[in-house]
Amino acid sequence: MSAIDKAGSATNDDEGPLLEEATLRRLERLSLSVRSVSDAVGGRPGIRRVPAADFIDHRPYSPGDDRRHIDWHAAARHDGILVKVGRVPQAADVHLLIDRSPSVSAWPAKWRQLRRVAAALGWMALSGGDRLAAHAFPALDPRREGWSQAVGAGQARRWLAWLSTLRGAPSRRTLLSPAIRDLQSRSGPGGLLVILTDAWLDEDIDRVLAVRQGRWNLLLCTVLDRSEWDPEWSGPVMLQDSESGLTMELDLNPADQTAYRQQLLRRYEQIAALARSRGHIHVLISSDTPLETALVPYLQLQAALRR
Amino acid sequence: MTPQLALPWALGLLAVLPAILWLHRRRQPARRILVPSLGPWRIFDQVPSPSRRQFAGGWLLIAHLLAGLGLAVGASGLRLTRPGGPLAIILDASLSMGAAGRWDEAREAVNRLAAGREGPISLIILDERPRVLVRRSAEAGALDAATRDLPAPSGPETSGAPDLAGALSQAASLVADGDIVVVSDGALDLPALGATGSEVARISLLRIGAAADNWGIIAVRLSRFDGTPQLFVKMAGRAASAERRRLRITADGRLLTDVLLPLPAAGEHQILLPLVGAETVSRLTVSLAGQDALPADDVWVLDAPMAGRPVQLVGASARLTRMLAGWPDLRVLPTGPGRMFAAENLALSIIAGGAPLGPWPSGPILFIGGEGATDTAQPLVWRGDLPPWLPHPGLPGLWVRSQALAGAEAPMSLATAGDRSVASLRVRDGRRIVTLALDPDAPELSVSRSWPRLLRWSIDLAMSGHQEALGQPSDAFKADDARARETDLHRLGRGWTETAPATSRITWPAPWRLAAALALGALLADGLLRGRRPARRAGAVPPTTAGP
Repeated sequence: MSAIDKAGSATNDDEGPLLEEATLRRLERLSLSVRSVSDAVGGRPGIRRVPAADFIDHRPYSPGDDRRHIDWHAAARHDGILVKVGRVPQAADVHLLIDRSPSVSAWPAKWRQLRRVAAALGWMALSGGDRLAAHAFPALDPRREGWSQAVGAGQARRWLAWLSTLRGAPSRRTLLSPAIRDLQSRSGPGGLLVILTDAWLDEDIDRVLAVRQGRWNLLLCTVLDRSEWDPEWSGPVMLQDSESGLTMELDLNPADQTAYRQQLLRRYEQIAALARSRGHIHVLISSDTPLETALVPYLQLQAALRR
Repeated sequence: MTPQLALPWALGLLAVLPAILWLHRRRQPARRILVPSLGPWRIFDQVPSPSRRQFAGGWLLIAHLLAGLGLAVGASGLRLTRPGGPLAIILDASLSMGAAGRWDEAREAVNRLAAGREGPISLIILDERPRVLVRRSAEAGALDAATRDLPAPSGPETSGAPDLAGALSQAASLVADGDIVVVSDGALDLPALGATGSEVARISLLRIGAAADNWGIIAVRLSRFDGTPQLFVKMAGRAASAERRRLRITADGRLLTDVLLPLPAAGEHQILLPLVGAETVSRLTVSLAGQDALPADDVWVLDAPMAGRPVQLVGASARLTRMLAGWPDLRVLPTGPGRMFAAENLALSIIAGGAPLGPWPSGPILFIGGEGATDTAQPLVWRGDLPPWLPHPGLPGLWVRSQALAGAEAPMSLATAGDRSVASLRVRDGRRIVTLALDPDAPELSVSRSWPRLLRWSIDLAMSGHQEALGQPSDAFKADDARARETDLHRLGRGWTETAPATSRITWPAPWRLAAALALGALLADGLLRGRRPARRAGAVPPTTAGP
């Protein structure tokens, strides 16, 4: 959008804007699929039928109805007084949980890709008139650092600027389920919960995916760095965990690298299967994959988007 | 070996070692890889393998350090000088050295000793007649060339005991200020030589070979005793158990006797066999049947064992000369009165007509006759208390005309005629002197059959040893045990300071070559390791060298 170009706040410090204009234009035509909506007025058509000008049906008049919505022509043709009813535009609640632990933020390509996905999803939500709330974890100061709930495309510039300034946070342990519980306790009855992480957590992923069913949709976006999938080193190495600092000495050969990739693939397949069994959607995104060519078709395939 | 440095200041290059350590420590952080999580790598932690855990960089560091050390030491011009000074090597060539492998091992030991020594080297072959093979040579290959075609000791050629004292004497004369190393299988006793402390300090033994079971003939003597040639055979050895082996004696290829001997498990065994007619035998072969570790000592060959022993005859009459010349085992060398040969090679000196005017011969002597013979013959009467080791000659009915005894020493009277002693024995300077104080040309003797027997008995008595206190006939041969050859493959010498041959043949200065080889190996190893590690792409990995 021109607003981003002008503000310049949608640019990353050293690698350009998080989202290009062409990408934004395409994202405007998409909207997130949300199972339930809130009571707030928004751009999304509501489910409840209420008296409205652009009616889709009639119902008998009841005391208290706005007389402006009485269809007098229909009343002339029928015995009783009929009122025109339609759907009230409503807003969906979209919550983004952004992982900024060292396992993500220490890899620039991975960190940038994760924020690009967050920017795209937030942009779609705001463009669709949904209410967007974002939380980064681990949170150094939750009250000051989070993205407060906002509605409307007018908030898009601020959203992209906030994302551009988001920095990684040091952490020895990355726990996601407390953040989810806190979010659900403070939020409404339901909505779309998007978790953007690399899934290297210090807790069982099953606990993360055990989000209360019902009015909540969960989209788990797992971002993987290219070097994570294809290690570029071999021989004797000392591996150090980016968060715990623990080390492990290995003498890697090509066979070991193959075994490692198989283990990695097996892990993501397990996460995807677990998400499916819980009715959630899992998306695996590589750091070097163009967003508009990989994320959007994949989300559509997973029915997370609708045109 | 003594280390010497041509350029000591070059040892300053050892400072390269800390530099190598520092470089390797610099290399280490590059190998630390930051990963988002160790989770997927735990699969290798669950199946730990030594190769995966091994840190290959350690070997490379060691190779680099060794290469640096070699370069520094090589640049300093280190030379390991060999021990200097003359060296005399006495190579034992006794019969026991002919056992399987010992001779080759001994020659290799000699060459290694020469290679590890700086200075002139002498080589002496030790057998019953030690000889100098290499006098003094500083050339590296001199000993190798001298010993290359040296035959291993074998039976008949090695018939006596090795003369270690003689060999040491020759060695001491060759290397007055050097060391003496005896290369032997260890069956030589050093204390028996009576060497002084300083001499013993210079002498060391390089032991060859391992113990092995063997029986062998160590001594064979054929001597006339009691008027009959008797063969004395002495065997020594050791085996796992007592055994019976056959002793065969052949004369000129004809089997004379075949005796089954009960040999003990260890020790000696001897046998005395009468061999009638042995005087005419040209070759006598004694052999021990059966197999053992040293076949060469199972055979002993005597060529013309009793033929032609030289006997000088001084001042004898023609008749006495003719009679003495009739014995085949004696080679009579007649001379005029008062004229005598040098006695070294003589088996006996027969002196008729009284004591010589000049010095006496050094060997055994038989005096016949004297001065003042009686006019009438009288019967010869033997003493009734002859020593038990002395065979009684018998000889009944012999009448003789006695004469005055020659010489001043008090003899042991053996027989008398009237009141005069006519047969006597005395020992002077370790040899026997027998005196027949009678007139050999008396008419009674010309017709007597006992007179030749008395003469022969006197000759054998004079030539048969000098241990008068011995009681058994075989003991007479034991006097020559010191000349027995050495065939015991078990016996260990006593009193030696043992040495070891030089084991290294490195030609210095080898550190240069060593360093070059090590450096090359290190570079190759480094190259191989780098080849296994693909180069990182710029920008693909964060500055923290982070990986997955």
